[in-house]
Amino acid sequence: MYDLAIIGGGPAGYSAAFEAIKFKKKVILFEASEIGGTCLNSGCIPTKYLNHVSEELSFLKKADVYGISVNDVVFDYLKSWNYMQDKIFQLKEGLILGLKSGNIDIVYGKALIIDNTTIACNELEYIATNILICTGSKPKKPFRNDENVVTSDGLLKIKKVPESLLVLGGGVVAVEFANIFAELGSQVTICIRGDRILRGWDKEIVVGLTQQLKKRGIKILNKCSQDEMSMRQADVILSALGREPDLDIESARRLKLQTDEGIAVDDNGMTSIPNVYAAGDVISKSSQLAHVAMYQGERAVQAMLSDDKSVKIPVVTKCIYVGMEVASVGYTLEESKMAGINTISAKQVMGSNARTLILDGDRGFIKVIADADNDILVGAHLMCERAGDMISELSLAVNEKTRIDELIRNVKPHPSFCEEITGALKMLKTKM
Amino acid sequence: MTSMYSDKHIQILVEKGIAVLNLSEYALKELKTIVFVNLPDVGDRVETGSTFGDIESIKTVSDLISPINGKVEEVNEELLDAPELLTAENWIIKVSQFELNENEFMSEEQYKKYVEKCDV
Repeated sequence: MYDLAIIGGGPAGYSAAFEAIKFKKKVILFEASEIGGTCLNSGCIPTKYLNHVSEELSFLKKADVYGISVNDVVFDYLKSWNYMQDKIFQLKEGLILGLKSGNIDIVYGKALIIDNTTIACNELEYIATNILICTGSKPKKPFRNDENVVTSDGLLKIKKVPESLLVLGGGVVAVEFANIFAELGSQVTICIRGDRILRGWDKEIVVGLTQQLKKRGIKILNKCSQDEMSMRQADVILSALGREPDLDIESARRLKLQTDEGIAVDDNGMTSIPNVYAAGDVISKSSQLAHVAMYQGERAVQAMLSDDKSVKIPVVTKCIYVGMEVASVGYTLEESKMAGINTISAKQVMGSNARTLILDGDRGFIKVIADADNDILVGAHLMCERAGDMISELSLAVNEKTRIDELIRNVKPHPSFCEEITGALKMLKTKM
Repeated sequence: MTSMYSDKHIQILVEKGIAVLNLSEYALKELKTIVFVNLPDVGDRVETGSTFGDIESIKTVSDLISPINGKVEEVNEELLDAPELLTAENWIIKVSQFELNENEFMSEEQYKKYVEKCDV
């Protein structure tokens, strides 16, 4: 008899497991494939690895300006791919070790929920007081059947750089892979149905990033018809048309769970059945972000195992890694105005930032959006070096409603990338 | 057609019922190297005194302040790929459905005198 059975060992599942052992609870974790989920095995981690490799290669091409002569740069993708597997293995081993040292039982196999306390796996039945479903998501099925069409999972299994890569879709996954393989030597074309890539992102980031990708030789074809997306050819065709919840239909049916595009849950992650929770990409309207899944896993455990049912849903950050980084939190300019906020914004460019200049960084900026009536930040959108790290300070400020004056008083190191945040905030103050 | 100028350094040229907006030659010279031009979308509304885009030079960002109310009819998108094409002879946006009171703007002569004593 377990206090908690978790189905799925990705970011939501393992974070929930670690949280549950803080409550001294007996936990069992079912994993149908690999611990770490999409994030570690076929998502965030391998793409960040490949992004790093593409950055290193890109640096070698321009190293001469720094007086570094590099002759005969030879890139061996297979060797690099194998090293990527080593990195994934190391992270996975660390995770498994952590789970085991927390006395969490791990069972590999597909779990079927029999009823709200019983789970079957590998022909055995397990009983648990609470169940947390964290089965994640999977790439949407491609609409083309050509044998060279792959999803992101498939592309990461190919052990060579394709000569040409056609990317169908313009979301984060599409953009990151397009950038990686363009930098590694592929001729890359992105086909999108709409006007622009990255729907839902700050317009200035979308336009700015489009220009950067074009400069790197990536063709972006917009307003593509279904025919055009179906006919265009390349060595490898990446179908990156979004992801969908990876839901076990039979388990959902047995529990009579509401499953409109994912499991319907309340703010604590509770389903329509009081002792059954869900977290991460499998829930309805998921953000499909690993860090959100981790938060949701922990929150679900806190709600089910403690008396604290209060919930404060944070504004979360989202990032894109394309050599330089893009990071975003809170309202865009348009959203802020739509919300009826007395909106002001300021943009600090990175062109004269010493650290950016030293590494010959691409055009970048830090844009901050504020509620002028209350002197607080409501959004921040960064496109520059280390944006993914720098956004945390601004995310904290948005969530905690820190006054802009207080943020400015936080003296930054010099020379640093982050000192430009202060520049942007000071510019905001001049507009108040 | 003669050009008119706003005090925010926007040059306005009216052609066949369309107002063609550009940054003045003086402002372009002051900004020196332009690295990016941030533009509105076709169909957006512009409002007098409000920002309709911005110009990034290496060190600063300068807002483009609209001198008129109206609807963006056309956007010079080649500036996105090649901001260096933004010259006094080029244009940034074309605006329709606008109301314009010529008395509110400066002539070329008046503008020349105006910039002698101001910064962008």
